[in-house]
Amino acid sequence: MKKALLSLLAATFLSGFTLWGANPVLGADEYAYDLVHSSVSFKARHLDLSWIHGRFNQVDGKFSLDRQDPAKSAFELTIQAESVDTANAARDEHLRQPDYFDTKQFPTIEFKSTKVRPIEGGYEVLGDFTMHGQKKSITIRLLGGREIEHNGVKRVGFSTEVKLKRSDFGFDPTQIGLIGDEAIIIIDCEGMRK
Amino acid sequence: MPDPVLYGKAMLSSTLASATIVWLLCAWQKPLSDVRGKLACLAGCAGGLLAGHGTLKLYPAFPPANGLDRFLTIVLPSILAVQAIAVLVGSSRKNRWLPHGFLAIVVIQVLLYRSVYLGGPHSDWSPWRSTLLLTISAVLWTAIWNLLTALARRSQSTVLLSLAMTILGSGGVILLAGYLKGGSAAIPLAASLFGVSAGAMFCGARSHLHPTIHVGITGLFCLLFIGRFFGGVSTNTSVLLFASPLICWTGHIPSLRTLPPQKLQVMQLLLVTLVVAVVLLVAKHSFDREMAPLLGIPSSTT
Repeated sequence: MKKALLSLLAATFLSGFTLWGANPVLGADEYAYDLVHSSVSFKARHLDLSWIHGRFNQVDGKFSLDRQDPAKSAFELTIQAESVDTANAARDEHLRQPDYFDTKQFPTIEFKSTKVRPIEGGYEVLGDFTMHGQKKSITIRLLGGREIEHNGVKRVGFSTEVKLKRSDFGFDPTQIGLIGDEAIIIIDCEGMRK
Repeated sequence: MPDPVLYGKAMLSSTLASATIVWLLCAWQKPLSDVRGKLACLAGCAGGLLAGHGTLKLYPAFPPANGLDRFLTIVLPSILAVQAIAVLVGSSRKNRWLPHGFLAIVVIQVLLYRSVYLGGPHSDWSPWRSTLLLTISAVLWTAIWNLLTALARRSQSTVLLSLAMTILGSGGVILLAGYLKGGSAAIPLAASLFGVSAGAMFCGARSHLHPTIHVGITGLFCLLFIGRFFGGVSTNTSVLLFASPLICWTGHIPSLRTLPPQKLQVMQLLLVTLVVAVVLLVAKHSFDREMAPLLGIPSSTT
């Protein structure tokens, strides 16, 4: 009897510990990034005259949404820098080199939320953005969050635009000139509920 | 954008600094001791590198973030220090294959540290593939290092000048492949080797260039390795450039040995220059075809 009680106590303690350490938290809906219906693109100024557009073709991510307590929501995105695509193979190869993304040294660009706050029409998300080996805290405004069910799968969508300065992320300052320092990253993502 | 004026300034400051240091340290001591002569050449090389890197604003990065940073911050100062210590303790010339091989593996690991080539969650390189890369690179480096060291016992200044020429050409190739910072890092190294060679010639220290040659071989290998694995330089080009100073061995073909030493030296250097020039021309052709339109430079091949 004593042994059974001890086992029950241990099991309760262990399950409680597992749930406390689990990510995401209880009550949140988990979504996987839908690569087919999402895109991460960017644009940067060329000679301060026009915009060069590009995108990243390999992106992965997940997010959890807690509608009751949005502060418990979490967002993660991992971009494979090697998959940069500007519709020009030579330029893509150049962008992979160490003067730009240095993809052999820094293969991924990552975002991981640290704080989520609901705002009108979406969420304000504070998080760590890591690019070119440099981690910076940034705030993004994720707009959207409407959920629909399509073919038995619940889906939710978000959009955001992030303005970044390449010089803040250790990009070679001698390379800033032809291509502007500021880059705008446009994220349109759709998540499928797991 | 590449800045030819800045590159010229870096070349000049580096050459002048290294030649002046060698001359100042050697000219006033007659006869010149072996240790002092070798240390003066190493000091000249270090001074030239500092002047050139300062002109190009290639400062040491703490912590070093990429292969080039690690080369400039860790490898170059370390190899200078190792050579200076070897001069002071008077290391033997025999059985250097093992220490060279060990050094090669360490340097390669330093250059590739935390890159996709040494594994990690986002790497498609398996451990055996990484090991193969390390082994082949280390064997190649050790083989060429020992062949050049053996050649340097016969003509130190020829080997040093051919290394300087090849490093300069390699910088051009890396630059034309689209890696500007990597290419520009070759300029101070090549210029300091030219400067040491000139300084040593003026004050009769031409037999004390051996440790500086080791610095040159390490520098050439590292630059080409970075250009190959982080920049856009092909394997064939890298290997060809790294091996090109070996052309100086042609001077030891029996039929050519009868030539006067100066003529022989000029012929050896011309042959190395020819190979480097051909590789540069091919790189320029590729640059005109692929990179020039991106930079808005009118292409000469279309």
